[in-house]
Amino acid sequence: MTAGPAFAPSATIEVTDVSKWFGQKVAVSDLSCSFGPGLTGLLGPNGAGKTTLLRMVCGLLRPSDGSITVLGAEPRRDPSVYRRLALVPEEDAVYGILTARQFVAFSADLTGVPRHRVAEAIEVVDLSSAADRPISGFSKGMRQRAKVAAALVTDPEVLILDEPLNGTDPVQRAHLIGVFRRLAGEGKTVIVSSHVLREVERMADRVLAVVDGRLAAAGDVAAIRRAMADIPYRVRIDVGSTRRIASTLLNEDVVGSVRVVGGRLHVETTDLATLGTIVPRIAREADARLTSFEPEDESLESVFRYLVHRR
Amino acid sequence: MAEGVVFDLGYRPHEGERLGRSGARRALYKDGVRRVLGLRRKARRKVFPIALIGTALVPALFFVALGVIAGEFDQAATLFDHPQYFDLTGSMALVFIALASGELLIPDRVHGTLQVYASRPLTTIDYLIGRAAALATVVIGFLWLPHVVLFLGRAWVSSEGFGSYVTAEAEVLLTTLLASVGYFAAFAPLAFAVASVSKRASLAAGVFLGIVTISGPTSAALVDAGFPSMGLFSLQHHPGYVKDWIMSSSTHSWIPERAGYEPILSVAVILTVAVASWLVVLFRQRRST
Amino acid sequence: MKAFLAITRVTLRQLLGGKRLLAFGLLALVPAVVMFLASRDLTETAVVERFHEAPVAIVFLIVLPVVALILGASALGDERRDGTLSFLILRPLPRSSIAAAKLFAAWAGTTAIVGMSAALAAAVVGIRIGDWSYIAPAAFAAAVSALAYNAVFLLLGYFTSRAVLLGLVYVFIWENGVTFAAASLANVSLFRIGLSAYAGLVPESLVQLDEVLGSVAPGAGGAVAKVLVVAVLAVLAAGSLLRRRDLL
Repeated sequence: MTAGPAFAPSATIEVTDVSKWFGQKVAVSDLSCSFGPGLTGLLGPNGAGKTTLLRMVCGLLRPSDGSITVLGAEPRRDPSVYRRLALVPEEDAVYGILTARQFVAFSADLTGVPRHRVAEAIEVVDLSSAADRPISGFSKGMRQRAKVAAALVTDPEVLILDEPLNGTDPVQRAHLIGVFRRLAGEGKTVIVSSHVLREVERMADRVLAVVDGRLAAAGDVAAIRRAMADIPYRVRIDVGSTRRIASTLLNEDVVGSVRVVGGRLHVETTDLATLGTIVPRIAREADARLTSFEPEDESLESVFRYLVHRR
Repeated sequence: MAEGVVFDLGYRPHEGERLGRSGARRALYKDGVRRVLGLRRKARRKVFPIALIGTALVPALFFVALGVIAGEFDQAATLFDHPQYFDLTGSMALVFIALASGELLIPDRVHGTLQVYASRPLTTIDYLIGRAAALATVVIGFLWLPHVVLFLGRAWVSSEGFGSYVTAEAEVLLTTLLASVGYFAAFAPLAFAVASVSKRASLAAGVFLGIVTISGPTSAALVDAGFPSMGLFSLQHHPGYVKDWIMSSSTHSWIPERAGYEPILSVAVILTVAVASWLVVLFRQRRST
Repeated sequence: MKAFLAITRVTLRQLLGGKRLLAFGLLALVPAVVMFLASRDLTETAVVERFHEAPVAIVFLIVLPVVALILGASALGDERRDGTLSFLILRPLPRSSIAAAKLFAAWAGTTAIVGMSAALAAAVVGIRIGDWSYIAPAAFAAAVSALAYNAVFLLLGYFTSRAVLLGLVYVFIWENGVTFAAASLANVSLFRIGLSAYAGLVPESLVQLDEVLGSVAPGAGGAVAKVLVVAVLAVLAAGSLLRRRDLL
């Protein structure tokens, strides 16, 4: 099956029934999905199998079962794919003896890319002022940017970034997110694995969530939340005559519970859409002013928490 | 008004005895011994130390077994007496020290865990003494244990009786122990000094072994060419010369001996190199924390 | 070619950076110093004999193995343990060319150090008696044996971080011990390959080196052929490892 939110239209990367085990430990289990142009966020708790999956996509690990193709080829068999694929690994694997410029130039030389792109790549990650310092003296955020520059210099069609925002400050993070979004907008396939959920939520067109080596959810964040029918929504409502509205809401079938905390209502419901029509009506009938109606758990963080803890 | 509540999840602070500096030193020492022997680590970390210890011990066990079975301990049948046994185990001790020194000092520095030690009731000296004591325990034990085995084996089959032999020949245990300490003192400080300036244990081991082994033929060639003072630079031969002096034996033509130096001068060289090496280690360690 | 040279350049910087070059340089000077001090006031014949004793022994039995083992084992092994090997693997390059570049860098570094060591010691012969003909054969022989050591330990270094230690145990126990005791085992000895090349180019050295060579026949051509076979096999094996093995 290659339809559904786990599968991108016009896929550049196809993962088909892939499993990977290391001795007795199963890191990835029977996972099928695809990635295409745009930015896909890959989420999961520590040990979920995200890095294993990404390393299999890059050809650094061989799947124990199943197959992976990147741009129509298997990277392990056909190294020419690496002209169009780049990885920014999570680990701090840089050549400390080289300057940032030399490191990026090394990457260019290895991929057969002209040297004039080096300065451009360094400029994109805002590392120009430190480009001629040895990487061994860089902060973690600067090392991350050097790694990103080394990947960008090759102008890849597929860019895989494993926790690229680690160690970056908010300004650097915003800048890098802008870069990733621009590349995705240019039609490149960008995969970002991250724990910084708010940023992934902001930048990703689509999210794949991996838990315990399996694909737990895929698609748009709100759509994933809606698909979790067994978990009630939590909604925060700012409305006048709080207690009166609360007691009226308790009579509604779609309302599971109501708490009044600090002049606000916190409501649990299994049907967000219906609640969204009930609350304004009740407020109007009670002549109370409704100032906000906000789902509390449609954020990626909440979705992620539910995905992890429901298992 | 905002509300707050704290839930008791069962956390309890430690209310028992705090062991303080001596406890920290003991823990460091035990950790060092485990590292050197590969204990509580993956099996492949144990292979090298156990292989070396086994190779050192097996001949002694073999000859004791032979003697016990034969009912007597025929001197002629014993390939190695105590002084000669050091010529076998001395080289192994060199390799063991090369391996272990890097394992004890380098990972803490490279992986940044020195700061963890620094935040405990341990001084730099405590740390270095702990590491050195761990290495000393294993190396001196490794060098001395075969001699204890040989000694007890001879005592077992001695016609004088076990107790009489032990009483009469107890000095052997002391001299072999002193000789073992001599080998440790000759090699370990220098190995530590090399490890303190390296980032990789393999490189430190290679450089240390290179320095020690090149000293032998270099000094020999120069002594033979008429530069007797170069005999003092044969790092590999000093502990053997001192061992023969302690044990009143002569197993080898040692370079310092050929150069005309008395064994006490070898002791002085060993101590000088040890002190200089420790100063290097102390300086480097203080810079790293 | 550009990628090959780029890998070689960076590898050389890794292998010889910082204090390493100083340490190796000092080690490499020892044979020349020994030769200089030990060859004073000797006849021409005695100078040549003296060169073929301690200095040649120090170069081929200590300086060469120590330097070659460290550089060979580090070339690929350190990249793997530092996590930078994926940086090289994720490139449109044949795996064997990555392995070949690593071997070439290790060999170039080793030859520069050990070749210089041998050449300087041989240069002292020239200083003493005006015969400079020993320099090229000595440097050449060092280069030949260096390739053999580098190739074997490039592979071993990939598998274990203790390759240097294992290699030194091999050198000091097998090569400096067992193979001297049993002449027929001399063929399984890497330093003797270079010495056989030297003996082939400097036949008069056989007077002193014959016992060391054991059953190994002198000859530069044969030595070069042997090390090329060893090197090619090592490159192919390393390339296969890079292609097949998982990089965690």
